[in-house]
Amino acid sequence: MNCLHIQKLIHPHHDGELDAANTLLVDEHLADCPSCFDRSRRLSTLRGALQNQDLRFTAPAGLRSNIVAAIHRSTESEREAAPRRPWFQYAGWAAAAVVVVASVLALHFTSARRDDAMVAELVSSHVRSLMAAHLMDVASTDQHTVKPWFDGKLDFAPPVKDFRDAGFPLLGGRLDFIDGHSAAALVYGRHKHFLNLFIWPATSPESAATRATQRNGYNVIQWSDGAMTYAVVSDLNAAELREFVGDWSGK
Amino acid sequence: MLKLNPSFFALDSAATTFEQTILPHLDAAYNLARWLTGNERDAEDVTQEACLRAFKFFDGFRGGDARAWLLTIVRRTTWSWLQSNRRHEEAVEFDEELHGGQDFSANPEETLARAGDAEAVRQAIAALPAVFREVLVLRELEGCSYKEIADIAGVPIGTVMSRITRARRHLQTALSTPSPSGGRP
Repeated sequence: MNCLHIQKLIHPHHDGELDAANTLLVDEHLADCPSCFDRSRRLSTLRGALQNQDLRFTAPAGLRSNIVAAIHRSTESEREAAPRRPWFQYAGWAAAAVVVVASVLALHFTSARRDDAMVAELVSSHVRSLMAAHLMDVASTDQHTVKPWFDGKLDFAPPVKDFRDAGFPLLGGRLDFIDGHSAAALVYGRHKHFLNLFIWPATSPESAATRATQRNGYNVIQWSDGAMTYAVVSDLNAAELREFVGDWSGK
Repeated sequence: MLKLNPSFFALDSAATTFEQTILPHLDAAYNLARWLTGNERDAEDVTQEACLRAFKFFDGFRGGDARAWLLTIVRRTTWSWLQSNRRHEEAVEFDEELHGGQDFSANPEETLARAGDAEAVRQAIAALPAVFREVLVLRELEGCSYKEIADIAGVPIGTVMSRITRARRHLQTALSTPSPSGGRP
């Protein structure tokens, strides 16, 4: 067994990532080869130095409480979707009764709430992209520039199309993060409006019909073709947004 | 006064569950963000943003490895942040052409003269290209397995292995040579 091959295995060997056969192979080689043994020893020295606990940063004291507070604020803001009058004006017994009803309803509507959270996430990603000068990571009207840009940045290859002729010119693309995974965001223009088209791999092989929602004045249309899940968000009116979806789906 | 928010009772309990299952991994989250952003303030901002995102997606957490789940979100948030806030050399996530070709194998004759110097080790890690830094931090400081790192970074295990190997070779080279800041012709 040659040293070059063993050198490739030394790191996973130290990390306990080799199977029994390869572990034995490396152990036997190290017993016989002073040069590889020396490499292995140097690696041990390095790893020992990295175990110094001072190298690991710990979160500053206030961070946890800030996050907890922000989470509670975010649940408060979701509450604003519900009737806004303060609940504490009502008698305690009424509140208690609602708790029971709400708990039962919550069981039924968990998936509805998840969809709702998804729409909220899409809209806030859209809004965030318009603020902070973060609309595009790659600005190009050429789909053959935008598509390769995603290579190596995502673990899937998003389809990229230009609809200049239909009045939706491609402006660029961006990496984003939707529903717990990375997504491609393609940016299109329509007059003075921007459209963010989010694309990520579909979780189910069945295609899903378009579902249109509105939130905070933004229109959101979601659909799936079985390979990819799509969601387009814009302040454009619903009819024109549907037109865009029709162009995309080739209908 | 007892504050009742009856209609969203379920949300409150989600917040509590989140605090109990996810926030214990806040140090791991902050550590990764801190090493990737390179400073405290940005690390705090990014960690907080990532945790809020995590909370939004908490419904999607199926109860597996909470730390890996949070770190996946922290990593993605940090990269997005770097891409929109930093100049390109830090934001280039990974380019095999750029970072992959060289073999940084250290001369086995050299000793790790500066391995005992914690500050030198810290500087050497900080000087690593970010893609190497993140796998090294996850492996050595967080003790993640290759599989966990592959999931967190969204790359194949083979890539994790080669990045860890290269990261360590970088460090060995850096720690074998005399202090890079002083004394060189």
